[in-house]
Amino acid sequence: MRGGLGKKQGSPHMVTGNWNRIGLFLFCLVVLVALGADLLAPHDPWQRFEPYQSPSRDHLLGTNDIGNDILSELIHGTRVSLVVGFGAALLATFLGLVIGLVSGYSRGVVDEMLMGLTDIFLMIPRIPLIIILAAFLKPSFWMIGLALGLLWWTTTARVVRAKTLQIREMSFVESSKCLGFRNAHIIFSDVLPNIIHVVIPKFMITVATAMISEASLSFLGLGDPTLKSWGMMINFAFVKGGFINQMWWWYLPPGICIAGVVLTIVWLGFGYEQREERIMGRV
Amino acid sequence: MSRLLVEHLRVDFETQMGIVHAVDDVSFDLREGETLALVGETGCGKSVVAHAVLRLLPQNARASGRVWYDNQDLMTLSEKELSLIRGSELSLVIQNPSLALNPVYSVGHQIVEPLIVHRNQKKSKALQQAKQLLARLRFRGPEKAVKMYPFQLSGGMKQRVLIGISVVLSPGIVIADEPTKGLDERLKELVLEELRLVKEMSPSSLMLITHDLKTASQMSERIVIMYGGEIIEIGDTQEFFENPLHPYSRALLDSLPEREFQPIPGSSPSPLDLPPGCRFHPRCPHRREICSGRKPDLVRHNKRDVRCVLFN
Repeated sequence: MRGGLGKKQGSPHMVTGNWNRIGLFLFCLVVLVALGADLLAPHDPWQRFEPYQSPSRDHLLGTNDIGNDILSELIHGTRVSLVVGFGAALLATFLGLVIGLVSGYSRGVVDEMLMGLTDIFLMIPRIPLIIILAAFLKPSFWMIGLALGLLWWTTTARVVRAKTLQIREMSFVESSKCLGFRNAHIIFSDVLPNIIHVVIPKFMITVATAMISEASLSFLGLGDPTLKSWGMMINFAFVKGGFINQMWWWYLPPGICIAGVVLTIVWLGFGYEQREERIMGRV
Repeated sequence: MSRLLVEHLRVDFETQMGIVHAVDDVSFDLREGETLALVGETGCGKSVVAHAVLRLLPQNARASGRVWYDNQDLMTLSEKELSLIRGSELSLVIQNPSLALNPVYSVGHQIVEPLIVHRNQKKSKALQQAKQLLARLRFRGPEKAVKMYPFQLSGGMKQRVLIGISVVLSPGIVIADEPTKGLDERLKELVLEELRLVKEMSPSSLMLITHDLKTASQMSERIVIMYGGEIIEIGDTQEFFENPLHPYSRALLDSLPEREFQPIPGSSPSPLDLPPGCRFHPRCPHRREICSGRKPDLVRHNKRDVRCVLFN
């Protein structure tokens, strides 16, 4: 793996696992679908046709209880799922990163307090809390994203703190102190780049978790009723008799989509981790 | 003229096993333009002195004393004031070059970082300066070297890059902590050559911390010998090597392969449990009864300072 052999396998940047490639390809596909939903969807998802139709040439996945085209709903649902997933995960990762870095770098009292806070947040049962929140506040897209983001940072903070504790003792951090760099500079330009390879896969997992949670909440009827998300579609299929009447074209596609996209993102994170490990192994 | 004056420096570490007296009442000065060697066995506290001067000690350390630099006591400055001095006026080349470089940045980036942070320079301009610096430090192909990452460098190259980083702001004082540790003879020569170059490039004072007497004799004008956290002898390097005063200094020189290759009996004291009186007395061939009772003071003898009852 060293020296001359390394050349044969290409530069470190070229090394990508198969998981990474499949994941990247599928992920790009999902993003394209989300972006081009208006062009790709055969109908406006709010347009009403005859309800409860079986799949036909005009409506490939049939229509729902109020006559919306299910395929168009499905395509538009990609947006909601991705935005909620990434929005919540960005917020959660940002919080986790800042809390973890500050906690691990400062140690002492600050560390104790921040980790105490993390412990408290870890104890909160998340889904039940959101259900309660949804019961009192008007369930909306933003509220769900915010709630997920504010609750999911704990594990990231823990991982980042552990890694920061390790990196801060390294000689190059001491070297930076010798050169008179401020603590903030050291945290962001010495410590952060050395832990980012741990944060990215964690971010991916958070995206996947947030998407599943959004779907679960929507399925429970706590989602934003004015939005077409995959979880909401399954909820309507369940409530309006899709399951009982065995209209699989109604409830199966959104389920497959959720599972598929989550799998894609997990693959992407997994592939990245593998690539990093290979590069690290070589160094 | 002294650039740096250390007075009554004392450093203790609080550990689970008890209090470790790492440095005890150490006073010395570093003069304008000179090279001062700080020599002692592993664990005698020489690195701790360097770290204490820059206040880079770990949390469990208790340091007291005064460190005068430019009419201010570094021990009383705030962290912010100190960070302006660190690197730009007083820089430390830390031990273990293989770990002291950040693995995710190129050599060029790490050399220009101090210029950008302390001097607000533009990166492109700073990079030019970095290349010139590497060229002056006799790096072959500085254009290529600035783009390399630490894992592509050999141990000697890393040490040279590290020296480059610590002198890029032309500090008045450079403290090099064991710069030749773990390098073979040829690389050692190269690194020492670079330190000499550094001194030629800017009129700086160099404090060389080493356990290698040969390095000290080649490089320094004055020498400080430490034993068990204390200074036992300070003097002119040449005179010291011709006529060491303290029994420990003599034993140290006799242990060199070029001389008699005589090992010093016993082992150096644990900083957790230092012997009373003179710290060297259990191993000293000239010990008297008084040695275990009272600690001798550092006294002047023939233009040198020595801590031993033989010269009182």
